[in-house]
Amino acid sequence: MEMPEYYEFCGRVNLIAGRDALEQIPDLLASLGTEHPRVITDAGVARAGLVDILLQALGRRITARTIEDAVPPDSDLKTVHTLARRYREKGCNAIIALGGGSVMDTAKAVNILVSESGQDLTAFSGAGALKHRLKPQVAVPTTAATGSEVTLVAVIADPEHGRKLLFTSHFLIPDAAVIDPRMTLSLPPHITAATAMDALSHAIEASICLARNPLSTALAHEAIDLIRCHLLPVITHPADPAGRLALATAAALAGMAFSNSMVGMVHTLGDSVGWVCHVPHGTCMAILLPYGMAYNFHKTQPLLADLLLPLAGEEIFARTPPRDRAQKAIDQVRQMNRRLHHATAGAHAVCLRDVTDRDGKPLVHRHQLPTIAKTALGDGSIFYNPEDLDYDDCLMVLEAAFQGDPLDRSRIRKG
Amino acid sequence: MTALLRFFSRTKLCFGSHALAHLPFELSAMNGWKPFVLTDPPGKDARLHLDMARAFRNSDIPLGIAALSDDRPGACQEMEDLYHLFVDKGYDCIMALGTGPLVQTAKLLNLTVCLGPEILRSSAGPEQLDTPLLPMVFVPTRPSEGRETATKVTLEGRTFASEFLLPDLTVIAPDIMLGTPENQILDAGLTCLAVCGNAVAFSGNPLVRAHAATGIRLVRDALPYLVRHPDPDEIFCRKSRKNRCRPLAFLAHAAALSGIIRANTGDLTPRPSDNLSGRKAALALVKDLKARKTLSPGLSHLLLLLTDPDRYAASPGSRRADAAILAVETFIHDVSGTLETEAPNGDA
Repeated sequence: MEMPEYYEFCGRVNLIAGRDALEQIPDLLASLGTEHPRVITDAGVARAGLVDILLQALGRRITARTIEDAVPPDSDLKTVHTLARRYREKGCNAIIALGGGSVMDTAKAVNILVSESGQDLTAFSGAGALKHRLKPQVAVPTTAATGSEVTLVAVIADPEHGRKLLFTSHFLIPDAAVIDPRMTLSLPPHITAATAMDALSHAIEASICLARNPLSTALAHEAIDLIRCHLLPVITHPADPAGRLALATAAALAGMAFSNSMVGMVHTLGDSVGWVCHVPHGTCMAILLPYGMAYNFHKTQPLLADLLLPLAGEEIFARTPPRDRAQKAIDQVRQMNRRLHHATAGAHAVCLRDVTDRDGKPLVHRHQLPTIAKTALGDGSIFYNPEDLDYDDCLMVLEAAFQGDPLDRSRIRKG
Repeated sequence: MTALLRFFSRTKLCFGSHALAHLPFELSAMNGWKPFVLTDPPGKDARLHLDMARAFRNSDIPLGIAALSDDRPGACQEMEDLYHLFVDKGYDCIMALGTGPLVQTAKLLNLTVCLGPEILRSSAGPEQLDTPLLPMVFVPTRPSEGRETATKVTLEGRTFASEFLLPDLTVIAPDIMLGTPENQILDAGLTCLAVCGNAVAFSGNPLVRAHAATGIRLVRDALPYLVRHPDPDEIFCRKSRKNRCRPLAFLAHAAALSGIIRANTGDLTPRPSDNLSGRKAALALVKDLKARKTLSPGLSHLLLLLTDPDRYAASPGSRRADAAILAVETFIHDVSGTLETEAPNGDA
């Protein structure tokens, strides 16, 4: 087994997943010594009726002091400071984060301010700035994607300075992550597809990037296996709670994996496409994932070959000759994208030029690719990618992903 | 997947060369500024406390070090003495440098400091505790059976259970692995194999399975090497020592994972390895795999974990479960040679 010279692994979150898992929250909060949580969510989640389901599950034992549903898709400093002020005013003593990645990150950032009695969130940005345990926090994800409910990271936008602030600390890992299939049942098929592919990208990158470790890889393989078994069936039968639960659990596993091993160029480029063109994160990940695998092929062939088993299942793995397994793994991801494209009636894009907004207008234009490539060079995940990337490399991959062409591996400069 | 999946591990793992050097940073992140280090006689004899002191040399963190007198878990009087020492000197966290009974003592000390010395004199029954304890660090110095990272501790017949009894941090540093008697190595490796094998084969919890898969791979890579290269005399040769230290650390790592699996395998019934160890546990695993072959969703995965992808792929799907059981038997036989001579009935 490949073993790094040194590695750390921390998955210090009480993970509860299953039918009626929400009903476990009162006991969880009691064990954390709190009964006056504040619920942080967003307007979409509230409109979908998920807050009502949560409040019903909390029952009479727990009184949510306030319910804040003003978290924007890309949470920013102003939102965090406002929510932190209200938390103090209402005398809350815990946080329940109900939502996707933005809500989770916002809740973590609010928790920093209220736990550290701070007034300026920027003072806590970076790695390891936190030295103390924060207020109790329970995370209830409503998408099966980011894994934020189990990660040690939060990202908050600082629009005034045109930057995103990164917060990293083991104290940011929520005390508990509660995964209940009721929370993802209403996700439309194309969002289900994109978010699951986001989780898949976390899992695959976690198992091939430079900071990988055996425990992260094992978790990643379990996550990939769950996504392979359940994604397409859930697209066909969206009301299947077992499938929904499996996908949400896979996202948490993938989150735990990448939280302990980082990610690579798929996120380097995907985050930049999202930043420049405002493309949903999961869509970027789904399109760029096979390109990232292909780009790193020569450095990670045995690792990619190992991925074929969870990606394709026992029988395909067994009948694929060892030398072909790595390429087959990449083909499986491409095939998964194509199947999702058909299953969602084309809503799941397979190349960047086909990504559109609700009105059908393209979101990514060829002339933006150089800007995306430049932006990518400032992304921290680039350092964990197995093969080096410079501007020309980024542009080459982006052009291929824009057209939907296979990556010409002969053009990759092997470092 | 299981109907309601639960998984929790408070324990952060640090594995690798010079891992001790990370301790001052890790402790300060846990708000631990004055650690009380407990070590056992083998650790003291090997002067491992000096390695520990060296790791803190350039920090502002003073260490208190106590070498326990024997290998038995702390009796009440010993706990009282440690308690007074801890409180009088104002320590704020506990580090256990060693394995087995030493860690039980460290956990009991933590309970005594946090709940008061009266718990030593109380005669109440088993207790489920939900009070946070002081930060605790576990630094194994040899492979063990992994009960250090489990959630229970016993004091003179009383059992205390709490998630807070899991160490906050487990630091596995190959550089401080001690020479270990061969029978202990074998016992540790086979116990881990049994715990992890059982989890891979029967658990519906993907987090448990991932931990177990890693544990099996660590045992697979370390145990045969250690069994085939016993030569205790060569332990004093720097190169030989280094060659053995890393596989010893692999086993210690697998043991830590076994403890975490034990703490999270509520969905497994029965759990044959709970009360068995070493060869008995491994043989009980084989027996269990054979008896419940058709009920095991993950059995074929054992073949992959214990052999390699090619052998796994070469085995027809319908025979993969049998091949997996054979792989487990072969592994046990290769490392211990006992399969033919000892009935796999779990009560040998």
